[in-house]
Amino acid sequence: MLNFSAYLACAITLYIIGLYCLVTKRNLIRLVIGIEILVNAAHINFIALSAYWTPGFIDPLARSIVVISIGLAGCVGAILLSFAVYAYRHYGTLDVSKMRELRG
Amino acid sequence: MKFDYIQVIGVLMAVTAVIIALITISQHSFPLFKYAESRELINIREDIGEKSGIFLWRNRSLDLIIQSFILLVSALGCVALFRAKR
Amino acid sequence: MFTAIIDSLLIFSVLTPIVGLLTPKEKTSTICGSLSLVGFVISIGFLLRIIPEIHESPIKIPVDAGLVRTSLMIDLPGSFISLLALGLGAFAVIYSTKFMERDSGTHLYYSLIMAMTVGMVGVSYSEDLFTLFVFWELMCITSYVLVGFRKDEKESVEAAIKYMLMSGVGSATILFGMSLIYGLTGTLNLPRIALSLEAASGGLWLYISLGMLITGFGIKAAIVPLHVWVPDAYTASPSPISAIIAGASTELAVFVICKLLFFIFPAIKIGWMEFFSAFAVLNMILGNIVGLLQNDVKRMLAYSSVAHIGYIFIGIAAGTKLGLTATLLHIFNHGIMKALAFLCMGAIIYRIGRRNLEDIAGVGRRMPITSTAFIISVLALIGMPPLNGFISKLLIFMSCLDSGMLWLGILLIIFSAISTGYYVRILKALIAAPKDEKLNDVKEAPISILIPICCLAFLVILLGIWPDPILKFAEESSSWLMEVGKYV
Repeated sequence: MLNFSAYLACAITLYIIGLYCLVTKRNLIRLVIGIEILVNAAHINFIALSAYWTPGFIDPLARSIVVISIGLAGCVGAILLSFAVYAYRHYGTLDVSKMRELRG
Repeated sequence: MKFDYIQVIGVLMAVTAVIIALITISQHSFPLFKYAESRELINIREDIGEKSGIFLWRNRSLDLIIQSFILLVSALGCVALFRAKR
Repeated sequence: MFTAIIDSLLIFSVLTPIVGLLTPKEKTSTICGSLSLVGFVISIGFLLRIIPEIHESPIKIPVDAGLVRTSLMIDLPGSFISLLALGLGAFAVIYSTKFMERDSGTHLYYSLIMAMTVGMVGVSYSEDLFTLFVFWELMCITSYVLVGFRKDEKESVEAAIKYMLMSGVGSATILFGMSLIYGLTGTLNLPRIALSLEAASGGLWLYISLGMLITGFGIKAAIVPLHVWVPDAYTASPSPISAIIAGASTELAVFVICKLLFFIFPAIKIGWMEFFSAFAVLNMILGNIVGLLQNDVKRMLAYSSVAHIGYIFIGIAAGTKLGLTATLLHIFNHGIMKALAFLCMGAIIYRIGRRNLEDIAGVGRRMPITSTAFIISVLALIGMPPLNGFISKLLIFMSCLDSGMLWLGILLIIFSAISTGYYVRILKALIAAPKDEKLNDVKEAPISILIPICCLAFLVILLGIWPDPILKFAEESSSWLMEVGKYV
């Protein structure tokens, strides 16, 4: 098996990719995908930790957490996309930098 | 070629952050379960799926019920958002 | 199933939309509101009955004896915050029976308010990090829909999108921080983590996990670089929802930060005490100075919320038991005062329809009861002596002296004085003589809007004159939070 640090580096890289996606992209759908990438980084970290406790055994606690958390991330994405529909109806565009009515 | 400045700066900062993270992980390795005590574990030679399911329903039933409630509430929320105008 | 406090809210939350579909369109708001109010009253009744029993020992749910299976624990600090959440939820429901009667879909609105309250009560009672996360997501998801409930207005949709993007990032960061703590200790049960980390000596990964958890919860708690969603979301949501979010949801995030810091991470206390004093100063500076530049009253109240979170962080930065007591007391008092201010402003918007300072000038003569309650809440926010804001600010100042951070106490007094600059503008606008004919046919607000306003104003005055019960409650809660041994 690989060293655990490889999986941790993978999870942190995914986290940074998710943050990059949220900061630089302007299309609303891409921002939703960015949030999903962020959540999946934490899932990978959990699953990798579950396998590395003792060689030959896995920990069911981390797996149950990931199973439940996948459902929660799906709900957040659903509500975000519902608001994206209304944003398109009001503003005519999905560009987040054009939604600047409230200022100050 | 037209450069989008935010994109370029974003890529540079992301690559820098990844390099710093990789250096940090190789220098201070993660103290894996340093403060942990023994817990119940599952042997990988047995049926992982079924044993995980038994664990989930025995020890985490509260979280499961609240998660099903969240699914119901998100469905209600989407119905509320897509309701017809008065 | 679980405890009766959460059960009754769950049952009524599922029942209300079904009943609401069967009622005629004009009366939906009143009938569904009354049904939800019954659910809230049953919940509050159970909570008040249980409080004397949990002074000695907390109740564990599920009732199995082993430490592994405890997820909810009904104890004193949790009851302190869930009392605030249930009370504000009940008042908002009474208020909304008249406020939201012209909107469609109100049966879903009441169901979502009850689900949000279930989330808040669950967060304050949970004893396991993952149960806390699941209830936290319940609270967040329902609040996204409620902030953007009036989806036909442009600014509601924009505010809801901004709020959702930032809060979604917060939830993902909390999950990552939790995975790092799981990696260090192998469990997610709070008392067990506290016992395992007692002998911890620092180390880089402990700091990283602490930083991620505080960032994630801090987005909801309006810590300064992450507070950008606060003015938009508080302004553009319907007024009872502004009252619940400003009065209970933000305070709950601060309470969770307190619980994590004092429970799990006392080993690295020296590190975060300085951090929090820096955050406190930034919050006070930004909240008070940008608040002076606003013309929209609800936005002004939102920035004053950011400033008050700064005062609350001074109590955490002090790090002693007196500091924690002062923090809990100010969380409770600020919740009540800010909710009262938002509800009064909502009554004025209900009658007039506009929010600017120039437009509400002179409304005090036409709506006497509402303006009196508004004046009481603004005076309490400034910190005038016979009201409850003064007592909690005094306690925070004393805790600064106690732990040797005198400069923080002096900054507290200076910024309170600066904040009177914008509070006085609201008072002036209320008391002034009406200039033109627009306000001639403005009557007093209807009865179901006046009932929560009068109850909250009475509470503000009562807790100022006689603070002993709530002070004792806060003190016992803080002693429970600082000792892990009582939970094991």
